[in-house]
Amino acid sequence: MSILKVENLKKYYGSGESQVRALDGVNLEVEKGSFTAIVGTSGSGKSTLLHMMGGLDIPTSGSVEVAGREISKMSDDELTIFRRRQIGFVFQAYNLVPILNAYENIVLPIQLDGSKVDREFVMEVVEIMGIGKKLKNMPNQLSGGEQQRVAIARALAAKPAILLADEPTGNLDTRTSQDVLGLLKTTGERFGQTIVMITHNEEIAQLADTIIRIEDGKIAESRWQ
Amino acid sequence: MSKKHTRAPVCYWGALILIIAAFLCSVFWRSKTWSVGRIQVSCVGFALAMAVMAGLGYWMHRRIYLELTDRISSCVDDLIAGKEPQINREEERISSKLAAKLEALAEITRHTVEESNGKKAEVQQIISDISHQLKTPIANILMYSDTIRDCELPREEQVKFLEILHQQVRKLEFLVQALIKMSRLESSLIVLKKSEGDLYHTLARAVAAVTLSAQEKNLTIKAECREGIRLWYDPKWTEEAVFNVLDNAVKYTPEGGTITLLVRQWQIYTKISIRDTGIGIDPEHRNDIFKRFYRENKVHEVKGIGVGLYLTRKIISLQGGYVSVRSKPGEGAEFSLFLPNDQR
Repeated sequence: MSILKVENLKKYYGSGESQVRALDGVNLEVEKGSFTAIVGTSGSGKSTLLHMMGGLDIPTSGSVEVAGREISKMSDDELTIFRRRQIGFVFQAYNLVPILNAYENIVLPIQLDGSKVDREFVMEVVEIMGIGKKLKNMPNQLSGGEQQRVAIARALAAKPAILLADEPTGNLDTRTSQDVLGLLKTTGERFGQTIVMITHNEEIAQLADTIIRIEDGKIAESRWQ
Repeated sequence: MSKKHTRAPVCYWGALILIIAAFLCSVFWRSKTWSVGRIQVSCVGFALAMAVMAGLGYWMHRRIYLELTDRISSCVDDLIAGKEPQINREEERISSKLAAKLEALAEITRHTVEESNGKKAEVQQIISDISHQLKTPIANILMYSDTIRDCELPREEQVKFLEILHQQVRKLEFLVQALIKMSRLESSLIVLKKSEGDLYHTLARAVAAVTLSAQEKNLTIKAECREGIRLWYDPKWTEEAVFNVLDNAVKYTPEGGTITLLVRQWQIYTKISIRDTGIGIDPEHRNDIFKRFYRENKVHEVKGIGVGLYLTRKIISLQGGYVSVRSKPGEGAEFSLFLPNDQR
């Protein structure tokens, strides 16, 4: 059963001679509960693809369907709420709110949706992420690895349909990267969380169930690895 | 969408009634009829207005409440019928939020049912396969033992038949072992008893269990693990998980090869990696090998039923860890088992 379906997705920037084809007819499906890695060099269009999947950018043509809903047909307001409820983002730069402590950062998306925080679930995630003792710390009092773990906890806490990670270990050293990825993988398995991760690192991609390679805005090869 | 602003009219009606009440009060205030105290009149008027407002408020509230119930019921009905709910799930409304949650629930349930059906079919298939395979050795055993009993055979013939009998019993033994292993696949049978302990002894036991078969194939086993790596884990099951990987390494490494076991502790995980110089795994099957009953075509002549790595992954992930594999076909494979350092 696929939770994410991308059909003939195109994104062109500019027009005429200087037109850039960031995405040029991408088709893919992501199974529910799977861990997919999208690999490609910089400029291959992988980040653009991830942004389209998360409804952060509007495609030139084609469709993106998440949990049975066509997101390119949504209005801006609908898209905002959709992202809040269905998509969890993890970015390379962590993007924590500096004036909130770790716990407040984690529950922020839930509070934005006006929902009650499922404290038990949040604490479970926090314990798995090994940041139980750092909840009162402000982001600048956390190491890079810890900040990224807080960011992952934040993405998971809202129980999104898909978790999208854009180079989640881009700013971390090799060892910390392995730890953070391990956590991403084990929590994915534990909570049946669908994860789509972008990386340029083949080694990191090995952890995924499926690797999709993207080159010049097209899928080069999609296979079970 | 027609009743989108049900809450607003309550305010408008309330305000209107208050204005009318205030107007009536002021009229009474100014009037020269002093037969009734003007304060009393004002109070009665005000009380009346409040009563009307309360009534109206109750009525409006009830309507909103009923409408919400209706919307949710119809959403549930849609989901039961297997249809997509007719409610827009991306709005700032209670019903929209509930619908989104309900849909997620329906999705999860559907997924679980599909998954368990798939697993059931798999088990049925393999059981029917094995039962079928049991028939041949049994028929052979019956036939040869009958022959030995009923016919006057020269000694060497008898020995030959007994040898065949022995082989058939071995085959039966393997199949029965396979059935026993399979019965352990039900995840409820893996009951973890975690305790804090030294990983060293667990690994030593796992290595010892494969030493003999490794010697038979003239394989070298190198192990690099210091004592004192303390983890919160289940020693018995972890030993089985490591043993399964080592056992595979022995099975799939040609004579004279090397198996290396390496342990590294990181901040969150401890990595146990087992590297061999065996046949390796084709990249397209790197994930399949963890599925139960999966066996690569090229290893069909080697004994096994394809549950070892499945169990390994299950045991490790039940303990909050994960397994990864790297391989170059023809050159070898490296399996890494990651176990969390702390209690989870």
